[in-house]
Amino acid sequence: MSPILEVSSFSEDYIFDLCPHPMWVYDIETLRFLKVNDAAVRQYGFSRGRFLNMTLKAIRPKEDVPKLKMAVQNTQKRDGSYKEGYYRHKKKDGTVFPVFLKGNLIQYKGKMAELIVAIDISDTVQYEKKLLSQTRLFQAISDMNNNLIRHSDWLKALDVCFTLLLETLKIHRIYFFQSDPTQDRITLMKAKTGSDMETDPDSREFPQLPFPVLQYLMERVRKGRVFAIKKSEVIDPGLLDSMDSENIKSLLALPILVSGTFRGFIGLEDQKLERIWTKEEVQLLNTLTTNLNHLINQSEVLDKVKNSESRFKSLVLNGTDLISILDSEGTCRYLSPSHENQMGYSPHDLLDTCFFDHLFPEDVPRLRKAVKIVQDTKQIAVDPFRFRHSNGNWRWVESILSNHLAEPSIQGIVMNSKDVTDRVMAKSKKEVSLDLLKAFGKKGSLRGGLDHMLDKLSGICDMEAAEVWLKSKDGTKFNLLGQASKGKSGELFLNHPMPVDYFSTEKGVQGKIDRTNTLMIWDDFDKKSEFIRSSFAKKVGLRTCIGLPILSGQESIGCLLLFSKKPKVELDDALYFLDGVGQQLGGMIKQRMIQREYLEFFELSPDPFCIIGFDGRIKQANKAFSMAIGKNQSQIIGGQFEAFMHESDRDKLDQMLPNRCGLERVEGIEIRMLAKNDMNKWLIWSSTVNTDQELVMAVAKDITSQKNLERTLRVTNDRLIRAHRIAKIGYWYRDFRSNLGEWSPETYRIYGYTPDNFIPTMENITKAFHPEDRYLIEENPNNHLEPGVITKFEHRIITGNGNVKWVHQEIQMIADESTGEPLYIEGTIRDITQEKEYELQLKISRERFLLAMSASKQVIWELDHRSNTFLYCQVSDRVEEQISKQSFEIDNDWFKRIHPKDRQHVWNTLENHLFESEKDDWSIEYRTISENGSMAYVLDSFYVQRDCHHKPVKTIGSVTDITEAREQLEKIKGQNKMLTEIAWLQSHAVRLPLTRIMSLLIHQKAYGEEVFSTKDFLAIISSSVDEIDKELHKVIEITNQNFQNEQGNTTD
Amino acid sequence: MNKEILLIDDDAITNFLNQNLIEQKIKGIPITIFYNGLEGLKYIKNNPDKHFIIFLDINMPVMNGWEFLEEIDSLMLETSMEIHVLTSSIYPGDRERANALPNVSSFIEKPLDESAMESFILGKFKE
Repeated sequence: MSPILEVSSFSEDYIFDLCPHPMWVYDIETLRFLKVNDAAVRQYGFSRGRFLNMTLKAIRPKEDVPKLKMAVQNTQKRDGSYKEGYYRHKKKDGTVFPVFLKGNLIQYKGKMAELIVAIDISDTVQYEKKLLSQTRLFQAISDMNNNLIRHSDWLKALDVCFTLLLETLKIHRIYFFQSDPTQDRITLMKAKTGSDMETDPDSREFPQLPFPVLQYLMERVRKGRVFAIKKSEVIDPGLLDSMDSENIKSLLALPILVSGTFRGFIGLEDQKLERIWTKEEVQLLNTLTTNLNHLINQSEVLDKVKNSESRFKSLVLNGTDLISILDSEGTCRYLSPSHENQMGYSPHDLLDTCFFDHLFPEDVPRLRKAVKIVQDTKQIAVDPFRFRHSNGNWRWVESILSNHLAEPSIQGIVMNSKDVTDRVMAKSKKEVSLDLLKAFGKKGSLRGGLDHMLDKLSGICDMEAAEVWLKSKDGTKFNLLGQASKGKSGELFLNHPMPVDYFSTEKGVQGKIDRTNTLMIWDDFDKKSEFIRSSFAKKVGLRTCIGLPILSGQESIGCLLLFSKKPKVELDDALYFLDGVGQQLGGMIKQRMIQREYLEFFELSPDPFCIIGFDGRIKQANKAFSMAIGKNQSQIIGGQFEAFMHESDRDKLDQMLPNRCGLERVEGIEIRMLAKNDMNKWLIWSSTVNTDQELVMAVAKDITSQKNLERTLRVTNDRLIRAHRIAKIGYWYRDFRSNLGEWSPETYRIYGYTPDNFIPTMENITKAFHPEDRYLIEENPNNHLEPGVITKFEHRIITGNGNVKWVHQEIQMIADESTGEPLYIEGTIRDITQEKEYELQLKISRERFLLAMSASKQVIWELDHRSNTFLYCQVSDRVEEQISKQSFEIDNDWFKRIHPKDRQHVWNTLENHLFESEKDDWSIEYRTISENGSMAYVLDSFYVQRDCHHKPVKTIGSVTDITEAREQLEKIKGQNKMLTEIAWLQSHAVRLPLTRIMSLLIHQKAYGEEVFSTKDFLAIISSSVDEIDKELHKVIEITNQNFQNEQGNTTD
Repeated sequence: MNKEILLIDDDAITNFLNQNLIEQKIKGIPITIFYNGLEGLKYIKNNPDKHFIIFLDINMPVMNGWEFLEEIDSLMLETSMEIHVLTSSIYPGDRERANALPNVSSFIEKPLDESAMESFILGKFKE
């Protein structure tokens, strides 16, 4: 045991502080620091003072405190003073670091203490760790390489590599997406998840790389770049969300490139840490990707090789191509194995045989020529030729010959051949079908067509005789509709009289074929009882019969019988060609039959039919159509349908043509067609569309006469209505069985109603009658009406607006002719209000006229020049008219009335004015003598009506008595004369003496008495005054005399 | 030419009075009196080289004034005269009738007084 040193001096302290490693002394009992050096203060971060108040616990991580206690206990018990060991310490800032401690027990200031030197071994530990991980990584690289090389299946190898990487890199998930360069898509090939994953097992198996992440990542790895991302560096919110949802903290993706082409990537995820990938890790991953590149490449190359190999194998072994090598003479030098399955020969069978020996004799020259030609050229193609199958049948073969004679390894003509029998047969069958169709179509009639077709068919199939039997329309029997023969025996067979006219569907070979509904072949049919003609067939040498049903759809419509001299076995070719002929023939025959029926109907119809193309041209038209429009069919067919339409109806064609705006089916379009002589024909059209053929089938009916009748009726009706309106006549009708009548528009007008505001029920009509006239309608019509007899009556009605109108009705009742039962009542109604008014006015004016005539003593006369009759009228007693009619003569009663002195003058004046003057009105005054002899003065004014030649037609005159006026006039004249006389007297006789006196007075004034003495003066005045008096007496006398004259006149 | 005034009137007193008045007013022209138209007419015919100023009454016996005027018409071109109707008539028909005749120079209602005479002379001077 070494002595315990006492160390406590300044210099020692100095050395203590200079020590580069932290050093301290602590009390073993209390674990309190007793002394610390500068290095410890630097290393741990505590101040010296702080240290001295702390225990050892303060520099140990909490979890290590129990270890510390144990260590201290050990220290107290330990044998030597020196001790060393590895520990973990904690700095003031909490950093824990590894330390290597060396201690020596000492006595410090009387206490048991330990001097410790602490060496920070953080770096050492770090290096060691790194070294360890590198070793691990290198191990992993090596393991991976081994693994990848060892495994033949690179995907399995990858699986192991992924396990390795998960462990080595402590990552959570790793996967490989492979990209298919031909198709732009990537596929997850392998994924592996760490065992400590907290995610559910499903997602462990199939990592769902969210699209935003994948998109982001692909953008980079496609370019061959390594892509690494940490969640904290992500800015894109979409990407961040996706990483969050997948719980990815960091992600690394490494591209796989094969020969510079992107072929996928390896992705690594860490779900806990944001990783910074070390160089070593990246190297590890690079190893993987590089190896993977090679592996993928290698496997692809291998695949390719495998594929081409297997393809080649299948080509050679299972191919249908026949390869053979001939020498220049045509001897077979090599035959490919395909000859066995194609031609039934083993290659050895044909080796060294002459190629031409196996060919159809007809084709040999062509092939010999080809073999010759190819020797001068490189290659030649040969059209199909026939090569014998080992079973004896001929196969059609198509070849390409190549010249390889000069090539030492071959030294021959390589013949690449192919069996094209099916193609050739199909082609010739197609040609046969076409030939048959043509043959059938060549003849117009069904029978002719069938004969022609059978002739062709028997030629193609090498048959002696052929027959077509068709089922009757009712399906009870077969009728022979066509036959053809080839060669003598066939001709004889067919010409042999048939033992029966027809075969019922029950019997015969026809019935049998019909029932089986399939192709039948009879070998040695001459021995079969169902053949009625069998014995004769034998006689002419026919052995085999082929029968096949003629089908329209599934239905058999007849059968085809073919007779041959050959045995059944030699008829394979014929059977081949006959397969399907039944259907083909059925279609044609059915079509022809339908066509015939259709045509018959088409032409038979009395109604116009036509077929119009979508181009509007008439494709077909029947006789009735041409008859209807009066044009022959050659003028119609091919012409535009519109050309036969009336101009204003042309747009109606659009309704029939679906390529315009027409419908599939149209009914009842009325169109005016232009017929000959500019006549219009009304046709009513219905049509239907055949879209496939772009045709419109149109049928029509001639409705011209109907239309004309309709028009006439309409015109008549319109006229009647107009006539009713003009005549103001309304018509009405009422069935006795109904309460409701029918009114014409004019009837409504007369009643002042409209159909909207008045329903002509009996009740309403009764109300419309004037109350005083209602008895007319309320009475039972049967009481006063006789069938067919028109009854007339007039009555008043009350119109819609409350006015009273007079109407005239004429009604009649119509009864059933056989039973006499009244059926209906009809009538006309006429508004006679106006007439009634006129009548009234006329009555008034007549009365007025009579009064006026009577008051004015007027006589009206009328002279009709054509009949030379004279008519005059006078009114007596103010009310009664007297009309006299006489011939126009001077001695008639009229002229006798005229004063004899005036009579001739009046006659002459009249004559003069009527026949010589051009003046139309005139008047003349004359005297008349009445019956009692009294004379009267009259003024006769008359007016002459003349014709266009100024000849008088009628003269109307009015004679007015002017006697009174005349007398008055005379009286006035007398008075005027008297007044003139008086005026003269006054002016001359009375005024003369007066003026004398006046002159005298003037003289007297001027000259005094020098002219007249007073005596003379007075004498002159006196005589002048006497003279005046005398004259005045004369005036009085005249007046008096006049007065007396007047008195005398009046008393007369 | 010798002028002469003729007074043709059947009333002697009137003639006397009128002659007296005219003489007073028109000096130097002789005045001759006739008692009806015929007398005057004869005198005029017998003295074709004189210029007559005639005062003619209408209502006269033998030949009244109207008849005189009718007769004198044929002499108007050969003789020189002016005729003034001097009448007691105030009957408008007479004045109208006189004025309508071309040979009548004026129509004077009786009595002939100084003022009538003066207006007559004034009329002459004016001419």
